[in-house]
Formats: sequence, C-alpha cells, structure tokens
Amino acid sequence: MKKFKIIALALLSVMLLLAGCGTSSGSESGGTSTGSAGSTGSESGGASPSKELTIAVAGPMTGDGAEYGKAFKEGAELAVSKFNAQGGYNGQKVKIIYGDDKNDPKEAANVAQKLASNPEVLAVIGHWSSSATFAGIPIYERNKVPMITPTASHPDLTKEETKWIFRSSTTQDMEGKNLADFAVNKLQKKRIAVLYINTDWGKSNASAFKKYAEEFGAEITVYDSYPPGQNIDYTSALTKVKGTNPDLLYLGSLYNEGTLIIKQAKEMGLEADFMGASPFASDGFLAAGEAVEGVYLDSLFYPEADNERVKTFVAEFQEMFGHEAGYFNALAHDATLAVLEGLKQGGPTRQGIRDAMEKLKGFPVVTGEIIFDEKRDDVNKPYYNLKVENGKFVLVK
Amino acid sequence: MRKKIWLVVALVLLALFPVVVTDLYIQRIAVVSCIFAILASSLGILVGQVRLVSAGHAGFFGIGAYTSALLTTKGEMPFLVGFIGAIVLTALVGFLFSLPVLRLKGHYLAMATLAFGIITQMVLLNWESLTNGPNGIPGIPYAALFFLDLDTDRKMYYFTLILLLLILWGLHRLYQSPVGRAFHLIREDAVAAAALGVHTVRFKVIAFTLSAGLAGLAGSLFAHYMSFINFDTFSPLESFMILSMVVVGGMQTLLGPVLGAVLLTSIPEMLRELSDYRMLIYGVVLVLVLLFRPQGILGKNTRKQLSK
Amino acid sequence: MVIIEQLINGLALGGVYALIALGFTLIFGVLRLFHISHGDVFMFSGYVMVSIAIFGFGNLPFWIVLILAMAIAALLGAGVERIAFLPYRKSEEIIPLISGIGVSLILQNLAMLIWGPGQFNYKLDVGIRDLSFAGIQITGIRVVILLTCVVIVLLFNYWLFRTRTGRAVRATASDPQTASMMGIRPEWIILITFTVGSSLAGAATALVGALYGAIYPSLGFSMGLKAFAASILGGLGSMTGAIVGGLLLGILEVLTASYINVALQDAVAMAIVIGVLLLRPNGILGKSVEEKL
Repeated sequence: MKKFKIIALALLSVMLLLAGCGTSSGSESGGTSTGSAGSTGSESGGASPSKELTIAVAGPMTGDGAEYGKAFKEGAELAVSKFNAQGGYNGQKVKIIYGDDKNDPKEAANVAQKLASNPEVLAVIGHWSSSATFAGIPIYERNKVPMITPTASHPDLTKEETKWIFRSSTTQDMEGKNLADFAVNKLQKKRIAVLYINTDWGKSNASAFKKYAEEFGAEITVYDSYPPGQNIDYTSALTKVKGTNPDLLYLGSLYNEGTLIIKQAKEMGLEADFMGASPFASDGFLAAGEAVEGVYLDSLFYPEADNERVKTFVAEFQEMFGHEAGYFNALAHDATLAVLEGLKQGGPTRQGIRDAMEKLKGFPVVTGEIIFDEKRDDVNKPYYNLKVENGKFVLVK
Repeated sequence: MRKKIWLVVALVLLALFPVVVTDLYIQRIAVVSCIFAILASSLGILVGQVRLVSAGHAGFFGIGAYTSALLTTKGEMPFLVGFIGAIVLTALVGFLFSLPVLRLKGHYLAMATLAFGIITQMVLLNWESLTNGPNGIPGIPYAALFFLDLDTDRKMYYFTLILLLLILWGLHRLYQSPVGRAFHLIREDAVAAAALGVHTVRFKVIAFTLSAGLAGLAGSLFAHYMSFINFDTFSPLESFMILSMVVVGGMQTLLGPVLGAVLLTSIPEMLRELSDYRMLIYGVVLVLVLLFRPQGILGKNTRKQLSK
Repeated sequence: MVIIEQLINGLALGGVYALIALGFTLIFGVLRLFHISHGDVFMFSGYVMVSIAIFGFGNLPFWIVLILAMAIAALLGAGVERIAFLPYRKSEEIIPLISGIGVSLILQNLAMLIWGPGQFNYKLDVGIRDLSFAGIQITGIRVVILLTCVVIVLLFNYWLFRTRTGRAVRATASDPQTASMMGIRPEWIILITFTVGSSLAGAATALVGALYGAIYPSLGFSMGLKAFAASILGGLGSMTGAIVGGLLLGILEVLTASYINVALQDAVAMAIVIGVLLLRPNGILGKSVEEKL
C-alpha cells in the first residue's frame, strides 16, 4: 500500500520537475535549456532572447572524446566572436549553446531532440563522430533544423534526400586516395601493413587507403583492425605485422593509440616507416616526442601553410585561447563560418539558413573554399602531406 | 480499495502525460524510461526473484535490438516480425546459454554472465557481414502496428507504456503463481528447495529464458525508437547501469526496477550541468544504497531478507 | 622462426597479465571474493603514483617509485575492503559483487574527474636496456616483469608456508570457523590479505607504467578482465596458476592475432573464461571448488 503512494508521488514529482525543466514559457526556455545544455559563454540572464541569435554546437564535451568537443567549442567561439565584432547580423549578436553527446549515439539523439525542441536554436554544428551524427540526423530532418558536421566522415551520412544535413569535411574516400598516393607514388613503398581502429571512421579510412594503394601497385601484407575503446598493448598486432616484413606500417588510428603503437613497434625492432591520417595532426601526437619522429601523415589544416587565411586564423586563435590551433579547431571554425554566412545571406530562420548554405559556392574558409555538392558535402578541400621532423610538422613536397 | 484508487490515479496521470507535457524532449525521456523499465524488470526476474546475478544483461538487450533492426532493414520485414523475432531469438539465446551455465553458483555465474556480455558486444562489432560492424545499423524504420505507424514520440509513448503495463501485470501474476513461489524458494534456500523436490535447474532456466526474452523485447523497442544502433551501446557499463536500476529501485519488488529505471533515466537529464559527475554519482549511490538500504527504495524494511 | 618470435612476444605480453592476476587470485583464494575492482585499484594507485613521483618530486629512482606505488595501492585496497566487503560478511554473495561494481564506477570516474578522461603519457625510467637476439627485440622491462612474478610467487610460498601469519591465512582460507576457534581473528586476516593483494597491484602499476608510459581511467577495468581470465585459466586461488594462466593467455592472444585476426585478440580472454568455467572450473592448477546448487 505504502509502495503505491511512494510510486505515484515519485512519478508525479519526476514529471513535474521535467515539465518545469522543459520549454513552458517563451522567455523561460532560453534560460533553462541553456543551463541544462551546459552552456558556457553568455547566460540568458541579462540578454533578452529577441536580441541575440542562437546557434548550437553538439559534440563530446565529456567522456573519452572530450578534447574533441573542446576543440569544436574553441573553433566555433572564434568564428562567432569575429562575426559579432564585425557587427553580427544587422546588429544582433550570435550566441552559442552547447550539447554534450558524450560520443554516444543514445545521448546524441537526446541532445538533438533537446536542441530541435528549442525554437531559438537556428542551426547545429555537430556532431563529432559518425555514429553520434547518424543518431541525430533523423531528428534534425524531422524537425527541420540545419545541421552541419565538421568531422564525421561516413559516406552514408549525407544524401540528396536529407535536405537539412550538411558536411563540411571530406569523406574518407578522398583522404584514403591522397594518403595512398603519398605512400605508394611519392614514397615508393611496396609492402604495406595496415592496422586500423574498428570504428566507422577507422574502417572507412583504412579501406579507402587499401583500395587506392592496391590500385597504385602496392601489396597490402596485413589488413586488420583492433578493438575500439582505449587499449594499451599492441604486441599481438605488431608481432603479426613484423612477421610480414613490410616497408611501411599504415595506421588508421587516433593519435593516442597511434603513439603507443608506434612506440611499441619501434621497441619490438620493426624496421619500417610509419604513416597515419589527419588525426595525427595534433599537438598531442607531437608530445610523444622521440617516439614519433619521422612519421608521415596528412592534414586538412597546416598551421604553417603559406596562406593568408590560415595565417590570420592561427594568429587570432593563439590570441584568444593561448595555444596553437589544431585540426579540429579549424574544421569546427569553418563549419561555423558556413552557418554564419548562411545566416547573413538567408536571415535568422532555420529555413533561411539552410537555403542560403546550400547555395554557397567558393565561400572562403581556413581549410579551403566551400562548395556544397548535391549531397551537401563540401568536397573542395586540399590536403597537406606532412612529416614529423625535430618535433614539428613539416611539409613534404 | 485504497490500493485501487491510487492505481487509477497513477494510470490517469500516465495516460494524460503526453497531452499535458508537449515538449518533445520530455516525451522522449518518458519513452526511453519505459523501455528501460521493461529492461530493468527483465533483470529483476533474475536478480530479485531468483537471486541469479547477471552482469552481462546488455548482451540480451543488444541481441534483441540487432535482431529487430536487421529483420526490418536488411530483411525488409514489417515491424511486428522484427519485434517477435527479437523476443524469440533472444529468449532462445538465453535458454541455450543458461543450460550449461546455471550449474555455476554465485561469483562463478556472475563471471560467466560478464564474459557473455562482453563476447556478445564483440560479436556485434566483429561479425561485419551480419551486423555492419562498427558502422552500426542506420535507418531503422519506425515501429508500426498493422494500421498505425508509430512515428511520433507520443504514439511511441503510449505503445511502450501499454507494453510495460501488460508486462508488469504478467509478472505480477507470475510471481504469485506456483512458478513464482518456486523462484522465491530457490532464492531463499536452494538446498531446502531441492530437498522439497523443486527442480531448481529447470526453474532457473525458465527464469533466464523469460528474462532474456523480455530484454530482447526492450531491445527491439529501443532500436525502432533510436532508428540507429551500434555496438557501443551494449557494453559492460550498460549492464552495470541496468543492475544499478534494479538495486536502487528495490530488487525484490515488482515495481522497484521500474522506479530505478525512471529515476536513473530522467534524473541525469534534469541534472545536465552535473553530467561530468553522473557516473561517479551512480557509483556512490550504488554503494550507499547497499550499505544503508540494500532492499532498495521500494523494498520491505527487513534486512533479514538479504542475510544468509 | 616466426613462431619463436610469436611465443617470445606472447610470454612478454603475458607477464603483464600474470603480475596483475597475482593479487586478484590471492584475494579470491583466501576470501572467495570476486574483487571486480582490483583492476581499478591498480589504475587509481597508478595515477596517484604518477602525480607524486613525477609532479611532486621530479625524477625519483625507480625502486622508490615502486615502493610508493605498493604503499598507495595497499592503502587504497584496504579502504575498498572496509567499504565494499566488510559490511557484507553476513550477506548474500551478490551484494559485495554489486558493491564492488559501485566502487569500480567510483574509482574510474574519480580518476576521470581529477586527471581527465584522456590518455595520460609519462616516462618512468627503470634503467634497463633492451634485449635483442636473432632479430627479436624485447624491452628490458618485460623481462623484469616476468622475473618479478617469479620472485613474488617464491616469496609468497615462503610466507604462506613458513611464517605464522601465512599459516593463519591458509587456515582462514580453508576453514574460517575452526580458524577463529583456534584464536585467529578472521577480520584481521582478511584485512591483511586484501592489503597484500592490493600492494601487488601497486607493484604491477609501477612496472606496467614503466613499460607503456601511459595510463587512462578505463585501463584498470580492461586489465582487470585479462587478469581475471588469467586467474581462472590458471586456477583461482593458485599463485603459480596465475603466472601460468597469464603467460598462456599472452601466447594465445599473440597466436590468435597472427593466425586468425587482430580484432579478436580481446575475445580470447572472455572465451577462455566461459570455456574454463564450463569445462574445468578449477582451471589448470586450481584447488577444488565447492559447488552448491
């Protein structure tokens, strides 16, 4: 008997609390959902919602991928603060709220719904991983919210039919081709062992590399994945690799385990060169010091590039955040620029932004000049081929 | 009589909920809570009624989700086929797994179920030709009954709520039936049960199979609601979460797991600022509940229940 | 010759598993408790060790770091015992198991909050050179780890069979009631066992840390699973079994990666667990396991 009372009361209180926490009145919504989404930056306390325009950044703010969420945050903030400094949208400033998807598709769906239900949110920059993005897509489509992912690279994410989904980064097919060309044609590698992390990204990255490397005439001696999540010992994988005597070990890895693999490979006496993809283009990778000397990689963003936009971006970023800009900062920054340009040309509505973004042709950003194709992918981005020399990235011609 | 009044009040509140609260985000939380309430109740059968530790229950959840997803995407079958398929297949896996494993006792059983959960997750990840590997399964269609597509949160809410209520009613009857009494006897004193002629292994297998089937059912609902699933969700951490829901709510009660599921699903959403601390709080709550109120929120007030 | 390299690398890998398994199997052997958070004690004391050794004092000599790590782990282990096991002496078995899960969540997430969720890299110098022969190269530390396992087992066998406390521990393990009637206080014994077993985790964390130079919050849980598989394979409760199990597991993982697929290397451990539990619950060297219904 007592039990039923407890349950009914608990249910009632939970429902009331949730109801209070959600969007009930217009002016409430800005405050509470902003708070619950864990935003930093401007609080809605002083600014009334009609004066500021809101966009959202969704990504892994906590958990394993937290550094990438932080990178998104910084890149977006730089873009927005510059936009606001230049007058904003007809005098209206833009503010950012954040959604934390913890790099988990279940959370990503919740975040997507929360952002979509908030009528002030005009567009979403996010998510980081393909699986989180997959989870959010049906919700953004259904609720007609323009979404642009700066990094998710699974080919099936964008389709002609999903009119609200944009991608401002290349697909793995392009990166794989570039790296294969680098390895086989430029570096003359003939026997290549491939290890990759078993996530959607790693899989598409490695399979693209393999496809093109074989096309260019190299032999793939090992092609295996290792489980995702954090692992520490790669002895088994490397024993297999060493047994086939390759002249290059290609890693479809993120930089953390990348440094471990390379270090352990060298400790095991593997005599081969190493190559990775754009995730290696980060300070964290370089921090491994001696171990990663001589490693090859590519990147969509190279801070030393001889390009005005890159130089400006690097300088402004350093000034705002006190550390050097990295790959993910640049991508998030550019995706945000695309949204802001969409706002400028299309007006402060979800439909307006979407329509304007779709029409961008040759819009200049740090990593290239945005041209969206019929699937709303931005394929116009050049790669820089790099090598680690003396603890820094240098361009390989 | 008073019992019935509270019951009616609760049902009315639940039925009116999505009418009163129209925020889609909150409706979403409600649907997910119902799905996890079913999942937690399934684990409650094992942990609460028969005292069998299953530390890999997310494995069954995953098998159900993938079965339903694959039947409806690659298999192009209608939702109901996927739904029933998920229940049947997961129950079958539970049955087959339980036969050899239920000879083990206590810690050994826990270890075996933990290993099962992990292996299941690895199979879901690595059997690429079947499960699409790390890419997961996108584009899972909405749940649909013959005439009706459950394409809004509200419709899905009513569907899952009705299923949950039916399942709870069924379990309530089960726990009071001879089968349920056998469960409780095995829970309290397995040796005595055997001495009294109760075929303990048979009942344990029944409990396991039923539990697996219900977890598979929850998995199917989950897949069709999320429209995208991948191996990441069905991890040992998830298994521990479900276990927490059961323990905190009250493992030996019918509604304890439901309460645990609702609390542990909705409270983190309400406290998003504290999301950094979420898992830490779960751990602390788990330890504290076991120290001070091991029977859980809804459990009866006798510590004796849980002593040797 | 490839097979030789595979076997040697397998042993080198297995040494790590064996080292962590030693503490785990000791605790299970004496207390019949599945200390699911043993790996997390390993991880957390590793973080504390790194904070003190590297940030506190700069470059301490390795043997000091080792002792420091063992002390930290011993304290932490004792603390865990007080919270998650002591209150449940008279309760059903599943309660300390679930409480252990709670402790695991707490340790992992506390580590995440204090030191961040990402991988943390550091350098711990042991001052041993690498070994290289016939085209095979192993870091010296792996050899040290293997030797340490052997030394620990020898020390333990001495302690368990030749000293009074050791005999008291064995007595409590086989028959707690009679032992207490003989004047041995089981509470005390349990605490000692936990402390000693956890200090072994501390030794492991120092050596393993020197080997890989990296740590992250979930390292404990994943290493813990391997250690637990190694213990089961070798026979729960047997220290020699922990070494045998660990080395075998290492070899099996290397062979699986080479001849089947790298992706399955982690599945080996879990498959072993189920296989052993179903076919030969005693493991290779284990003592007999009493089974109730």
